[in-house]
Amino acid sequence: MNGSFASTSYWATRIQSDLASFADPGSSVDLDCNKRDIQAVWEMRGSIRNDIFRVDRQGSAYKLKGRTKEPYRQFLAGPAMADLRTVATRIHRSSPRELFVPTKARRREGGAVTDAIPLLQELVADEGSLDATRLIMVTGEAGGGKTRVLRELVLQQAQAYLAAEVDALFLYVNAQGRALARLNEALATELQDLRVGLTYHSVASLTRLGLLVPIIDGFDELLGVSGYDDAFSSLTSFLDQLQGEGQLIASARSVYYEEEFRARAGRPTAADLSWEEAPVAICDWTDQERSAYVGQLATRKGLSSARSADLERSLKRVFSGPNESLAQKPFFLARTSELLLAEHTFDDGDDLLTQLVKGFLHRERHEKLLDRQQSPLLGHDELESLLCELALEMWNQETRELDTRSVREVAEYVLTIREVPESTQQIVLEKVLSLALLVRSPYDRGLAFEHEAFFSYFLTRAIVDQYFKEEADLRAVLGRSALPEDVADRIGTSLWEEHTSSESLQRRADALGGAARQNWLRADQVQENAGLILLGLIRSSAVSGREVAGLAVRSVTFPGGHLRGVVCRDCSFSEVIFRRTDLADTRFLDCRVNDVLMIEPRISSNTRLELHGLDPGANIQGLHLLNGSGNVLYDPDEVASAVAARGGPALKGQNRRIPVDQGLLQLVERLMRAYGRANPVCEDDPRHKTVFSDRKWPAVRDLLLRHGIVTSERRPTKGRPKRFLRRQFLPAEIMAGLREDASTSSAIRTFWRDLAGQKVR
Amino acid sequence: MHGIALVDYDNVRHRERAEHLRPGRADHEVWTTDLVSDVALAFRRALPELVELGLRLYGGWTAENGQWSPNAQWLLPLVASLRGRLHGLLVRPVLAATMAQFPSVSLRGTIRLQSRPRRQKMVDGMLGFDALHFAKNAAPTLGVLGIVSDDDDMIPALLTVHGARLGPTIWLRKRAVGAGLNDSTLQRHGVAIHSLAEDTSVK
Repeated sequence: MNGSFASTSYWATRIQSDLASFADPGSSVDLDCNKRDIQAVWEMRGSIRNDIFRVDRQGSAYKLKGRTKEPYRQFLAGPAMADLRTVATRIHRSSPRELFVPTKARRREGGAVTDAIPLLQELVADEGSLDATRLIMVTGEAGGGKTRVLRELVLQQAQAYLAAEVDALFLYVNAQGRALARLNEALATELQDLRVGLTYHSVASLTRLGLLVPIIDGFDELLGVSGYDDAFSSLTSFLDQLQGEGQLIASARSVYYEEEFRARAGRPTAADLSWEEAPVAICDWTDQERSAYVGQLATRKGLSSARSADLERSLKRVFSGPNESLAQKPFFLARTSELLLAEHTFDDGDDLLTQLVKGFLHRERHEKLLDRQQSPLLGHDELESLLCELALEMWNQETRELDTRSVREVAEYVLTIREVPESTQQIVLEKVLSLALLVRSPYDRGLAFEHEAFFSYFLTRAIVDQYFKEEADLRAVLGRSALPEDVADRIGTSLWEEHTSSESLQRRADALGGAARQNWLRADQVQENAGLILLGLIRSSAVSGREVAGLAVRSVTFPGGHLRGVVCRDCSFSEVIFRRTDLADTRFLDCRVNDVLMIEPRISSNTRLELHGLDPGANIQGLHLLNGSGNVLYDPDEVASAVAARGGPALKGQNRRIPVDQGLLQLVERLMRAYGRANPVCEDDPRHKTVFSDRKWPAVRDLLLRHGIVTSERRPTKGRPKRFLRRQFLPAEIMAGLREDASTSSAIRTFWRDLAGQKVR
Repeated sequence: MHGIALVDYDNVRHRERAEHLRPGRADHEVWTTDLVSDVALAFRRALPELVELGLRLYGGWTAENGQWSPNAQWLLPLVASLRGRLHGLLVRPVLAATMAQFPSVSLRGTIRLQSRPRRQKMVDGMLGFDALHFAKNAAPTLGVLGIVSDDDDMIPALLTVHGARLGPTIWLRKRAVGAGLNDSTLQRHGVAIHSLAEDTSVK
């Protein structure tokens, strides 16, 4: 088979699948191939089309148009097919025009800080070396400006496309703001809203070719719903359609979700995906961005220079003391500026979010929700409880927006319960759709909170008041979906502030553990949410360096989260899972564990792990060292030694490690690190030269394949077909098999035994 | 109490209005909106203590080449918008394009678009086996499990499902109660039969 024929067959398969995504339902795409030409007869919008494509000697495809040749990408993007120019126009028209201050980002921990938008544009443009679908994971805390950056990126790209400066478009897909539990629904809804004729499958074809880059905002929503595997499956099925090509940008609130994706996409059940990941972290705002924001705001509002300077001074005052760190969050800066310009004074001792809510509600009551005598129609508590009920209803419906009928029903219920006079109810119900802190969702589908932070605030209040104070069945509220970390944190803080005693902390821990222990459909979700709240509670109780003493924690899962700097003394942890929990500088002193599993916890050199009863070999699956290298230790001996260095127990029993040559072991470890960011791994990838060029590699490869630890596949890529190795187990599982007594697959154990028997030259 | 209704979409959707024409997007949107409402109302009436109902709609959602069928593409954004409160229930419709036990396994060709006339394949099987999966795996907590179909082919699944769990099992269908050959047998074994026509006649 010569090179030209291989390219033609590659293009024939591809053209068939691309045209099928545009073809009329039920019609077929018939291809006739000769050495260089591919003739396609197919049907689109009721017309039979007869297109001829030619593959040149370099392996590029063209559509023949008389005597001219149109590049294949251009043909697919053109008006007769995807009509991306119209898509760009619609994106441009529908994008909201808001103030935008360039926000900084960096590629990875410790990487250079640069403007987020050019960074993402350059990353997407650098697709030459891609051997798998690239998932660019953008992480940033709530209120840190991720959504704003991504929306601006989409708008700027559409403008550049219309100016013919680029040939790829970004497509914003909001997976968080609607009742969209699945990517396919989110994508279909977005396309419908844009009123463009693209389908789910044509988006996949265009993404494979690099003509479209979907941006999934709220990727963690798709990952976080542990009770619904089909939500994650909708994501993997889209990745599967990309067949190892193209790029996606996804946003998530923390690195935890990035790691969760890697773990879940790496399971053998998650289809044969081909992906690699590129992390980008959005940075906090500095003085430079804050000044730029105030400057833009002053221009837009026509403020005098004196007023502008006054605003800057007031902002400095508000963002001092405990609120200082919030000045790094665009959300807080923008909303505080808004209230300051409306002459609101920030002077009480509440946290800034509470002050903002009080400020906006005060303005609403005294300027808008007025009766004929210009007196407020509702008291602060009544208005707040209405917003709490709306947030709780959103939570129960597992959405971030409510249709207008639901909003009115909830409002009527609250006002009736609160015994608001009927005449007042009527006026409030008329105005409820334009209440402060709420906005009409895009395309007027319903009502949503103006920002996730406000949703979190009211949801916290509702959960604390209605479930914890009333001691109601926590399963009902914790079994919904993954609780946002800031909500869990605020719930923990509220519960602690209510009763600041160790007895109260234990009572709350027992209630959370009790709810999580009960076996039911969404038990896993309850365990995770209970764990998150408990983390917040423990952190709150440990402020100002106070130790958490004698606490017994049972039956919860800590899904990510952190206990940074917390000191736990004489505490016990039973039936607890720490999943990628950040334990930097956490000090477990004289604590006990029973039936505990720690999956890649993050530890620093100051972490203390005096956890009696812990068997590092059996209870720890990977250890993430926060020492700048980002390395995860999998070798049980190394894990045990890191634990022992932090005051932890030694491995139980004698040395039961399979005696593998150190050089071979290091080679497998390097391969596992490569698998941490991609699966499958390309054997021609220069980034993994230290693995695949090692003279010992052929022997290791042979054993990996023989025992089914990896499988080999040959896939067509842009150039010649390349050989890939796909792992069939998680790196932590593979490395855990190095221990004789590990409860792991027999294939993994025999692999290590055979590797131990290898003669090293 | 919460429940799951497994709905044989094409078997129970309204179809009278455009029988002579090929139904379009608007037809399916109206049918699906009505169907979700009717099923929610019927379940609410059958079990007043029910607070939440998941509706899995089974139909010809994937074509021979693995792509979403036109019906599925029309219904995807619609089902998302139908999620919410309805007749006092929290209703959650989804298109069941994969089996509940194997969400990552895409089954191609639940509709054969290239056949004349177009035919559905595997849909009844998916529904029946999913019913069994839910009966076995959610047994202690699932309040009610219902099959919504007018097809007597569902009777063996209904009996097996009911035998595998403790909670109530409902058969919701278009025909009147008593009109089926096996109605009394099913009822004797504890399966509750309700008719969509009777349950939704007064709204």
